[in-house]
Amino acid sequence: MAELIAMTRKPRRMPTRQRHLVVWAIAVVVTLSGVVRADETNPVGKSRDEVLAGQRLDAMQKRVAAADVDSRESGFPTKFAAKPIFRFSDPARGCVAAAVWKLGDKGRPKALITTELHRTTYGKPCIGYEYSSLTATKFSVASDDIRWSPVGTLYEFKAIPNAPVPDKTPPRRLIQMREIAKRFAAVEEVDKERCELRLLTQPVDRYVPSNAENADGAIFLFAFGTNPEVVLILESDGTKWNYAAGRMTGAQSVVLTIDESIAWQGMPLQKGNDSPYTGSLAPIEIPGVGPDGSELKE
Amino acid sequence: MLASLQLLTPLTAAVVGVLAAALLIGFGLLRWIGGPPAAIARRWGLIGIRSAAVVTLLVILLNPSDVSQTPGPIDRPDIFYLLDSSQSMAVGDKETRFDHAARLMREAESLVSSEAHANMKLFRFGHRLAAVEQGAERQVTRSVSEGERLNGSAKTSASATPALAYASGYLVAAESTSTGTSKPKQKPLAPTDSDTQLLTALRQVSSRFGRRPPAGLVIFSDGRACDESGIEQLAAQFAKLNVPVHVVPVGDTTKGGDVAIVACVVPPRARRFAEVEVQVFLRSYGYDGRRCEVSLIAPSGVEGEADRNLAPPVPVTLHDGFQSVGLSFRTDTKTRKLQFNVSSLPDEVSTANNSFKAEVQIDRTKIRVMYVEGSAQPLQPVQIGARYEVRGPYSDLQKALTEDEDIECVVLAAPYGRGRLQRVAEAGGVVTARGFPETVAELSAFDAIILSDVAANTFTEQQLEWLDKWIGQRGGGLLMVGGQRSFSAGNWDDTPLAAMLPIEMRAENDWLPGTQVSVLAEPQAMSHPLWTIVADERQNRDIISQFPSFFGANRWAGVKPNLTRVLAMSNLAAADVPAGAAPPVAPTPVKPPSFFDSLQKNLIGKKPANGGRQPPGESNAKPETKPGSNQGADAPRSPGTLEANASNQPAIVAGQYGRGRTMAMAMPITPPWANDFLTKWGGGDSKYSGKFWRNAIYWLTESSSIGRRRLVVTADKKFYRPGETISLTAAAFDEAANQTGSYKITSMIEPQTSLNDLESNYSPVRWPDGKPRESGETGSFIAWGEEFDLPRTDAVGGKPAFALELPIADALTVGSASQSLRVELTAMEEFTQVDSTSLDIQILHDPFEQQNPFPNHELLASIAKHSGGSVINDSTQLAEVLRDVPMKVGSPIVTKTPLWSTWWLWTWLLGLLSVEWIWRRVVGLA
Repeated sequence: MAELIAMTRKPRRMPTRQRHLVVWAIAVVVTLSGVVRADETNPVGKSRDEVLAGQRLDAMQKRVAAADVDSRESGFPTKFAAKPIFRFSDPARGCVAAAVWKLGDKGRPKALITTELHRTTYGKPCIGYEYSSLTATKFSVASDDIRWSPVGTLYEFKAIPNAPVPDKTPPRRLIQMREIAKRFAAVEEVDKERCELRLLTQPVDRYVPSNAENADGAIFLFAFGTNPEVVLILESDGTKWNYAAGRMTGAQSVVLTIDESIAWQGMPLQKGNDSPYTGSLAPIEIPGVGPDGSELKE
Repeated sequence: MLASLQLLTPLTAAVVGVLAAALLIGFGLLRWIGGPPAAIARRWGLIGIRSAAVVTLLVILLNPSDVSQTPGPIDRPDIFYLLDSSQSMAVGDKETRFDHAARLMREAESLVSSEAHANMKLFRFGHRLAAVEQGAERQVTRSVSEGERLNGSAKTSASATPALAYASGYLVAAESTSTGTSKPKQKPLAPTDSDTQLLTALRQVSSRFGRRPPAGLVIFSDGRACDESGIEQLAAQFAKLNVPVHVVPVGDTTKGGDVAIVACVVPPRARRFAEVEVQVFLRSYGYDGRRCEVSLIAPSGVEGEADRNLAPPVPVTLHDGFQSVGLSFRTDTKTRKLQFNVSSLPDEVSTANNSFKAEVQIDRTKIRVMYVEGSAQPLQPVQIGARYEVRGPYSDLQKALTEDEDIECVVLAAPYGRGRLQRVAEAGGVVTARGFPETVAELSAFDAIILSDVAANTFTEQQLEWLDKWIGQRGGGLLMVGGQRSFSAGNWDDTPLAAMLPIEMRAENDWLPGTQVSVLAEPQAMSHPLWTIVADERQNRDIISQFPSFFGANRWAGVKPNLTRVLAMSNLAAADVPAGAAPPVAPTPVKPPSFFDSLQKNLIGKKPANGGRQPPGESNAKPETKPGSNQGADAPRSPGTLEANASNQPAIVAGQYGRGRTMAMAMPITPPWANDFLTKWGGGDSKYSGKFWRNAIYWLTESSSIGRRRLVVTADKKFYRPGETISLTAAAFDEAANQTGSYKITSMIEPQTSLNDLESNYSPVRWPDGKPRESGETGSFIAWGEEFDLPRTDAVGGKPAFALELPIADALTVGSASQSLRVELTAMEEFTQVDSTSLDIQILHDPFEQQNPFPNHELLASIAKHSGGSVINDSTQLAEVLRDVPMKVGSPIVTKTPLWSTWWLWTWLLGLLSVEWIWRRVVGLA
């Protein structure tokens, strides 16, 4: 995500910065008062960190809930799920809280949105959005700080070589999917640095992709620490297992291998609101973080 | 089938003769009465046609017939083959016992293929009796050696050598058990059963006799069975049934014993250059008290290339039964295939089981190092090609670490070892606003910290507490190197780090600048990974012996007694500046510009605000001296000021603190103190010092991979035995890296093998007593993939954690001596996943099958004797048994087809008469 933000970075302009100084000063007061309020209403037994974690999730949740989804396809979901399917943080890269949200609660999600609260980007706290379309259907997402109308998807399903026949029971199919997922390995290159990614062995989402018998699907993540960088979708059409993969990173290079053979390579990033995978930034007040990105003390 | 043409006329020769005579007389009378034929009728063609018709009629009278004869049906009695498919049949070197039995079957079948012989029906037995399909499902397979089986590498191979193929085609077990249940799944026939129940098999086989008992049974086995009692009485029952039990004993009885590697516990993944501990499990028999060696090699896999030893051989004194041996080796850059070997002893039953293969994958998770440098040395612009790069005192170490693509190095610089730490970009110049991590979560994202020449007061108390927590609980690594602001010279002796470092600091300033310090690696510590500079041992020793000198060091009070290891000693006394030698370029007389002044000058081209003067408050890099200290930090030292008893003070010490690792190095690592180390060791590219640092970092961070996880799970043992209990403990961490109990930890048990290879839907782990079950399962064992929670507990160090005890079954049904399973765990916050991880569990057991490798031919002979059978030693004898069975041959079937019943004969005759009639009509005859 940090790489994606770097791509969207704009040259600084002093006048804007000066204007923002005033805004930040106000934000300090607001944020501090928010923290104080949080402490005052602190439920018994919850530490400040737990309270802050909850407030940060709320902040992301409000932004995602404010996004309206529109599509000509009937039955297309109009809102993202109220609860994220995955939560993480990447403190080494200044990300104090983050979450992955899915669009659609039946079948394969139509899209994934990642929200990341960055301590400081362009010198101030911001929320980073990362959008990934999982459907060829056209739709648009809009809110005060989100504008995204993907024209399709970059996910392309392929048969998994040497995969077993999908089992008859969901628990055993999960075992199969996990076994298959472990055959994959992912590596990304960020600023010429090679990073091996870790498979989160539990899928973040499980769904039924079709009415076919033994149809099943799951979304696995490959993460740096716990920061997801690659999405791996495994699906059974009832007779065989297929996979598709996609980016959740702006890294220059990202490669997925299966049994040490290349299974997927991330396409170069495409900017623009209509890109199936893109990102954006917006200012936000992060509970517990000052306007300059510093950690506010208790 | 035989076929012939026979004349089957019902007329006798006399009748034919009479008929012929009557015809001739009749013809003569007609000729005498009617006179000769008219001239018009004297046509040879008509005569010919009429003659042909008469001949045809005569032939019909003779009744020529096609007679075919099929031999009568032979009622071949059955011979039941009972093939031992237990694991002991996999013993053998060039040919396993199982292969031997299969070969005898194949050869015997070949010998009797052209003659009448008994009908063979094949059954396998081991822990149960099962019929083996014949015919269509012919596959080519081979039995597996015990070593392969134990490795879990046994596979069906369609390209097995012909010599191992079973020409008889009895290859696919139908899984039709004695209870009559049948599964569609088919397995290749191989000696994989974990038990040999011969008595049970003999009892069960009688239910397969059908209407007529077989002519005999033939048992192919090594005779090593677990249910010998009562087998002779059962054999006598077969004698009463007139079903002799012949036996084909296989296996060499003249051997001395056996030693085998039956299992290994190897972590599936390990960090690069990490020390990996493995446990090797041996089983021996017949060599009590004998000595052998267990070794670990990396097979080259390339013909002509030698295998590489990964660890020195470990001598072992054998005692009959099960025993374990510990080995350790260091990983390198690639996934490593391992082969454990136990030296073979004279007259072993099999040497194929003396080796065991395994694999360790390399975890290349990025290692993040925080390097805090407080040296007062100025920044210098260095021209590299067409560009200038700013180099600081940190540049050499930073470069050494980042040469490894798996290491990320974040430099924090503190000018003069004090003040606010600021991050330095790798390219060297840009100083970012970010300093030391602002949260413990951010700190936990690192794997190691290097403190170089930085004073304790650079850090806040809270930051030092974070360091303690990070290293002790999350497995971070700590390295402090020498300098005028290191150790007690930097007042670290009053901080929590004093307890973490492996050395005892002095109460007074311990910095000894300007003194040449030679460092010698401890001979006993040469195996430590820090000292593995190159692979070749001799060259490595030479390189280490050239470890450069330093010009200054901190002198400690001693080394902590527990969990520490001295890696190098210094000889400070011997290194005092020799008479007449110029003292090294010590920093004392040099007045370096401020770090940031020089940075500003080099990057921006501006003069420092104070004109390059020392900033207010900076006391020429001289650390604060403590009361009682009689020594200025940077005061030039004259030769001989070191006490004589300090000559052998430790120079590099490694230790452990909680989950983390620590290291202390008495010498500074920045110029000019370490000029030789930075520039001379390994030539111009400093390759040796670079490798030295990377070694240090890899060693320090071996336990740190959990630092960036939100869910960390441990088990109380590396391996378990049946009947024991797995004690699982999980720690979950929130976004702020605090251990939390607010998540839900779900888990499930999964097999390490494919689902298709499983014989049961249940794991060998029991459902914990009293634990509510929501899955609907009711069995006493946890089903594969069944979900259950880990309950929260506060018993682990007073911190919120999750724990569960999972009892293992008293006995395993798997064939090998070990069974691996995997516990998959997920931390959930309501319906949101926070992290997931898996934990491998290995269960070792001691199956009866592997306890005695010797064959028991006496048992087999006894069965033959009591049942009226024979002991068969070769394929000729076996062929004789197949031939020597009473066979009933039925009457041959004769099929007669008379010629007159063929359509073409009557067509022929009709044609002749028609032609004759038409001809006559044409020529005007009646």
